[in-house]
Amino acid sequence: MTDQQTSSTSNSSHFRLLVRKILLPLGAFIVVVGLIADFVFTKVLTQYAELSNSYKLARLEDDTRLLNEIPIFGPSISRNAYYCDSLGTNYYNYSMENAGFIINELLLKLESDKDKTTPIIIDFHFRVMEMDSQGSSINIRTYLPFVSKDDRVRQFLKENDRFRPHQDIPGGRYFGVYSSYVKDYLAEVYQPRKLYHKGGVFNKEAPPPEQMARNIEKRRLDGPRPFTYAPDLEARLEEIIRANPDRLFLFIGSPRHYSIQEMLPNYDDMKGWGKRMQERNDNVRVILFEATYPDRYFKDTGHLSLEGARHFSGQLRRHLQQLGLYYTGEESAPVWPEKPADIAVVHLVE
Amino acid sequence: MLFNSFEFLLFLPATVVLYYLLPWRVRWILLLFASYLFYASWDPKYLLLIMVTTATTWYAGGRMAAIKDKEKRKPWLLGSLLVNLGLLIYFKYTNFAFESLEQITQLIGMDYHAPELKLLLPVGISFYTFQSLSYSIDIYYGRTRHEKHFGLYALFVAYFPQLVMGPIERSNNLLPQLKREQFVEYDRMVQGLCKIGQGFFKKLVVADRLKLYVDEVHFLGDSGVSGPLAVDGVAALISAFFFAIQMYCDFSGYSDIAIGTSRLMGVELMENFKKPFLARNISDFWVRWHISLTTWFMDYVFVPMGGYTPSLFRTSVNLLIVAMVTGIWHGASWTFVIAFGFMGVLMVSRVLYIMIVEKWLKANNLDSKLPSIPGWVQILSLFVTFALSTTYIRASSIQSAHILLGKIFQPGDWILTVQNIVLKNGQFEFGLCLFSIFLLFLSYLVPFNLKLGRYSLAYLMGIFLVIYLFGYDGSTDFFYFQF
Repeated sequence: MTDQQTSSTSNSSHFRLLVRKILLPLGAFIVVVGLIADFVFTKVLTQYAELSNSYKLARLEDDTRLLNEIPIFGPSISRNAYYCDSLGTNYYNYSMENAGFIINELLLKLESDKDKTTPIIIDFHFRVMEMDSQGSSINIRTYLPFVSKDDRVRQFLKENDRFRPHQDIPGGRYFGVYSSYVKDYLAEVYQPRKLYHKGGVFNKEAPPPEQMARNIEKRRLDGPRPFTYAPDLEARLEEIIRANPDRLFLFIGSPRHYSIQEMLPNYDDMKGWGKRMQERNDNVRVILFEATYPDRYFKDTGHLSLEGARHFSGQLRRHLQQLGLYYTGEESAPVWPEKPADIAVVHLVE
Repeated sequence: MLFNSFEFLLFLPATVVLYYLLPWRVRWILLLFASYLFYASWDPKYLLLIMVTTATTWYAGGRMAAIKDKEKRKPWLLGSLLVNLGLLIYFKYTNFAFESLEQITQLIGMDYHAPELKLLLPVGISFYTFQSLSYSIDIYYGRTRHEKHFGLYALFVAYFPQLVMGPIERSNNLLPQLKREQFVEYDRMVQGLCKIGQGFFKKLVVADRLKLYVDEVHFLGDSGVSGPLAVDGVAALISAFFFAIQMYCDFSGYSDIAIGTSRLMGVELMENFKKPFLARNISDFWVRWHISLTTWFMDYVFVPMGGYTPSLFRTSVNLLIVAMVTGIWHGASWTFVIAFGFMGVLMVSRVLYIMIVEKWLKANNLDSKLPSIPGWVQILSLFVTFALSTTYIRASSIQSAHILLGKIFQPGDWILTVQNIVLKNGQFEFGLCLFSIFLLFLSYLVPFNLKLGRYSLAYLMGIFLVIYLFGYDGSTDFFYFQF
């Protein structure tokens, strides 16, 4: 045998040994673990942890039930602001952390695809019309269970450059985010400091005064955060609104901490934008709540606490009733009062 | 193409299989092609730079090898240094120099606005430049022979496992292995896979998990210092500890993957980290941390400057200069100079202690009478000191680092609430951070380069399971890429 033949034989025998003793068993192990984990997470954890965004998406996709449900869309500000039971039995808070325009747009499209006539609440805050940079606000774990089964979600991820080929592979798609699903599941079972209620998340206690003082200081140092909007985004939003003339779109400005209000230099522009939307669209109403709330109504400078959320949600219900915009869930074809000339501004006090 | 990317999962097995299928005389072509493909995946334009570095150092090496008189070799060495350090300085330090000039002129009341050049820092330029410069310097000193085969030399510079983040190899170690015919060896392949597994564990389970916490503390926000201003002193301290571990796991994880990947092709790279958090003093630490860089600076900067001399002053200056240069190598920012300058001061302090205090104690027979400091206290105190100094490395600005260190050193102002400790991601995520550190601690108990034998499969399955279930989204860059 020549040297070359000897080395070739040695190569192949070692390679066969490697495949038989390591690569094949390890490969089989990876496939089995991956498939079990995929099944458990797709069928159980992502569907039953009510506070997870995946659950919210699954709930929103389901067009066979909850036809009288009023959805609330927005970022964490609104997740902490709308306490659904104070509003009524048929409200659900679909707000997601960091949800900017693109996420709200997706959720609105899913909602408007349904054969429903209920109003839709959109939290009207100073970033509602901001496009996030390159889909950075997209928390991929929210969408992974739906990548292979909902073209709308798949398209959404592709448009925002968040789709990756491994997201199609069972067992591969959840890699790197398993613990975050478990986190949601455990948080729901064990709720020491927070209350999770119909999609909302509420801190049971307000922070100590010195912590709040620090938060306020930080907010001031962060500098002004003006309301901005882009005409193309406005057009995309109006397209959805106009495509659903039977649905009432309620833009609700939930209460802000005074330190945020101070840093909002063009609040009048924000009001003006709301007024224009209401003027241009018959099925839009804008209600802004300007609150003089004490610090204990806030979890931090950006979000309400449980006490604040309950107070605000109760007040919202009362004002919706006063304005004739309250939907009980009984009406199949609700009739709304004539559109007022101006937006509603409500001043809340403790 | 990151090691922790889907593309690399396909790229690596394909390269290894092809490598062994091809006759060994042409394997270098495959490896060179794969290395250039790997590098071009960031930006094909970068290839031009690496080719310039390869061509200039190889040509200068050839010319130096042909000249017997060392003095006459010098122009070629200087030419090689000039071109390659010039490229490194231009791409990495031009903006830093202009910004510093602007800051200095503003301090003295002049109104100077530095131009902002849109220079993209080529990935790994600091690493491959140093590797190829070591070749030029070694040829100059006659420590290595010139590689006449340009293709093999190009592979030495661009060898993909260690191209972008080291270990910074020497031609004496790497080139002979690249020339030698390699065979599939079961034990070596398994060890390679285990090493890759360890690297992914460090990166995905520990570094990327801790990064979440550290990033929140260092969040820039609109003010540039939003995170540091918002967090409590206790979170700043925890973040310093976490970042030290993150940086270690990120970098040594990459090195492990590089070593394991190369081992699959029969090429042994040098170890870059040897359990640095078990070091008991700063000198010991630098013997264990980023070994390929510290030995580079020792061999090519510290020793030529005189190294450890009888003069304490001269030795101290040498140590401080090397520390500062190491800092500036890491990043074009004053924060790196401060962090590494501080470590240089620690090195000098240790030398002074050994040369003055210990000598005096011995001379007076007092050394045996003093109680010895327990090993764990030495280890812990060194870790805390190192971690605090890394606050400068992670901070986006000196101001940001000072805010955090100010908070750490004012424990009276700490507000010890659960929220202030666990931060936005909550108790579960914080618990996972601690759990990942615990797993790292367990891995420290395993002897270095332990041969697992028939337990290899179980080990690989275990490490896969841990990475699969506890790994964090594997799409983040390696921290050292910025260097």
